[in-house]
Amino acid sequence: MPLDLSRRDLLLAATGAATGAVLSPLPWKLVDDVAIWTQRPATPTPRPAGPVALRPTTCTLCPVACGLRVRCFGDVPVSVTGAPGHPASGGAICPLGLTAHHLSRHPLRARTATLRHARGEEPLSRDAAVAAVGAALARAAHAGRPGGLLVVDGRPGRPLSALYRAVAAAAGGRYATPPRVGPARTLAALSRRSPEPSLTLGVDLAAARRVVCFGAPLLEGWGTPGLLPRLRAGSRRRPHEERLEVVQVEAVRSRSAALADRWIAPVPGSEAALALGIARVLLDEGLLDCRLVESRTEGLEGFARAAAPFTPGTVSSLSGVPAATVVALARDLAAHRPAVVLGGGDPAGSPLPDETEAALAGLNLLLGSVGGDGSPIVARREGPAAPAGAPPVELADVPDGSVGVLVLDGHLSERAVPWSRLLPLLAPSATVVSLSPWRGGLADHADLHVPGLAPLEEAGDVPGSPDAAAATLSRAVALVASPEGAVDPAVFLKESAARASLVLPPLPPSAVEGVFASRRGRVVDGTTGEATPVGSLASPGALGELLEKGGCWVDDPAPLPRGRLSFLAPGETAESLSRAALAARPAPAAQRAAVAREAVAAAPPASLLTKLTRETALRTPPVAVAPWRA
Amino acid sequence: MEPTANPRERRHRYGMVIDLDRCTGCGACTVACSVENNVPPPPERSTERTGVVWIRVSEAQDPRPAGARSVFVPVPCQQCDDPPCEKVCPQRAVELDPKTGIVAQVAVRCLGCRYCMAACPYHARSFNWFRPEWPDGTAALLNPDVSVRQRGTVEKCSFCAGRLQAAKAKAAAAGSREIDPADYVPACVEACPSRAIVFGDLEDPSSEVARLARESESFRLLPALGTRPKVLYRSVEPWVRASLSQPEVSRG
Repeated sequence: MPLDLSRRDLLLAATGAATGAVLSPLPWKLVDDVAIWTQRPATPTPRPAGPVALRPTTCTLCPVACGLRVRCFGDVPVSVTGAPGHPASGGAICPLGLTAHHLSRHPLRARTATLRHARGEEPLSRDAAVAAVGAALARAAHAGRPGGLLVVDGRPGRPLSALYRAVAAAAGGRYATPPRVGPARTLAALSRRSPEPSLTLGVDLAAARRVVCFGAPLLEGWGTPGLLPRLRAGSRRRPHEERLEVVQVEAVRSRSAALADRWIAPVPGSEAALALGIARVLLDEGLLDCRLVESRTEGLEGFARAAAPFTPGTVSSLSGVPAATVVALARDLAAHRPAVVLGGGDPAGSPLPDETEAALAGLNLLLGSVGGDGSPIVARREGPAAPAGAPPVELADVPDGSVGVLVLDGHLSERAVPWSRLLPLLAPSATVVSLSPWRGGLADHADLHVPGLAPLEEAGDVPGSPDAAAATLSRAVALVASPEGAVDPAVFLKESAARASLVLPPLPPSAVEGVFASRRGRVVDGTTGEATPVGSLASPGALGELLEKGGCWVDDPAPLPRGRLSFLAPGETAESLSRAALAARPAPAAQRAAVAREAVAAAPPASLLTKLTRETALRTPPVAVAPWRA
Repeated sequence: MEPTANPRERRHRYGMVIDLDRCTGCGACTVACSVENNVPPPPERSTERTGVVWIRVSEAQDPRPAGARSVFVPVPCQQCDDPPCEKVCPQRAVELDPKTGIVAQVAVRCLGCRYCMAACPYHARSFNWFRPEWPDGTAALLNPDVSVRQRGTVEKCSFCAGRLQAAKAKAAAAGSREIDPADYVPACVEACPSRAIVFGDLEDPSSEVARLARESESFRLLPALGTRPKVLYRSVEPWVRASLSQPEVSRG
């Protein structure tokens, strides 16, 4: 029988095949595979780049200079932890330090030198950048003052700082350091009260039983990470009278205020009145450290005259702090010596006024916080770097319009020195050079941005915090390759100075040589905590080798110089102190109520409506502290 | 717990005690955990609900009228002895290891139904809503000991199981069955600058963590649920203990 296929038969067969295919598993498998592909895209597969090793180095993010141990697979760092035996950090590091190995690849990392002009930006090669900075230095050297060079160092005391000073001296320019902030201002105020003008002081929080912070974020960020909470928790095993307690004096409920044992919220600007009120109670009730005051201080009468107007009632009307609280705090501080009072800042983030710092310094002297055995504020020596080159000046001493070339250090932050503070110093057509490894901040105002080295890219000696109880020195090791366009600021500056035909004065010996020559202190192993006296080392090379392996040099304790500390520094009078403290605005009831509201309403309701947040007191932490509502 | 396969192998019950009087809420534990366990950075469009975090830090405020103090409370997976998440998982992607007491999340088995997230009363689990991505170049810095989880799966704290495996490998190489406790320390414990977290074997009565767990100042979150977490908290402040361990159930 002949096969008679019509067009209709072909269409029917095709339709049947299509219907059958739809009813078969095949299309569903395809859909499923596509769905899996969309749901499960390829993810990176981390692979070890070599054998694992723990490498020691030092963090350069902030002046504390914490000891680090970086876990590397081959040359690739994958995590960062604290060096457990490091004397500067005690094994603790901050959250930013935990990600130090990521920072060289941060989106804001500058990767090439950039020249900015009216038409926009253009990238520069390294040679072109050296030529541009060299030309600027030559112009500054030729102009002298005004129109000369100003180098602003973000972290004085480093080997690079000596080079900055040498370049500034060779170009006939100036070398400036940022104003001190936070508790360092209280220490500086105390130093000014010494007959020895070069006296350097540090804080040993472990020696204190009461720590009063006037806005200083001691419980959340200042100094060695986690130090004060560790000390406080450790003291809880002691008898009640010997425990360490923290009193936070701050207008807003910061994290430190929330964590403190007591929080006192004065009206902003009335901190000096509160400090003088506490001093007045100490004086009236004879609660001062008489032995220390008599043997180590002078000028108590003047300070007493300054504190005289500040009765607890007056302080209460000025600050909004109840009179009974002022009296109780004074008695508590006197009963739990050693106590230390440290300034920080005001609610706007600005430093406390000089008069307030003067009042805090006087309060410390009354409490015997300086000069006694076991006092929390101790004398220390400067770091090992010997001063040379241009002497440091305050930014306030640089005349407006006098800077023709401004060089900004890579560690200088806009928070430490706002651009609005630098702008008036510039002459017309001045050139601004930034050595910051990052874009943003002050670097965005630079005409020439030459990116320096980020943390873990830097190598060299790192001095410790200038506020610590003793000078320290560690060594940073470069564990991450820097971007091709980044430069080592020291090498770059030397090349630029040579291009400008500047003759640099001889640089001081290296910090390691300085330490070895002093024969002072000991090198503490960052892992085991074992100490090796510097005097037992054979050569500076042996000292450098210990630092390279994660050791940290710690200076010996320094005696407080002979002579008496004055309650009033040169230029201060009792009347000026009182007048400034009385200038605080009286606290209206509405402001006091606002503070009280913040105390109970800082934590917003949790957005995570889980069983945990509904059935316990757990709440989502506030993202930012509410500003003071005037 | 079920008997172990090898009776000669010692059974552990790893746990931690978090001292709330030491915690400052700095977030170092969260950061260190994310770095160690390759938790991807949250994309810009993620929220508190959709981001991935293995250890969340919350705040508890003194509820008394004059109280202004706060404590900060890190909340990782509570590693329950009776985990509700394990019971509801249709894929058996949640496993309680009887040898260690660690509640593991097996990412390759997870189908992303999120029943476990609904069952967990501690909000300790996260769902990968987004494709895991790292900024330019940082994928090269991932920890090779921990695999990256895919989008569409649930993840949570594993007590840094990768570190436990490394410690076991080290012990095996030295010819020992037992690890050195110093070799197995989770990243959050190592990173805490206040030393607020103590980790160890709760079955070992001589360990610091077991000693702290026995003290009257230690407590568990939501104890009435009977999940028996191996993460305990402690505080000398009675208001902290009352606020976090004695639920004030408000229904309706």
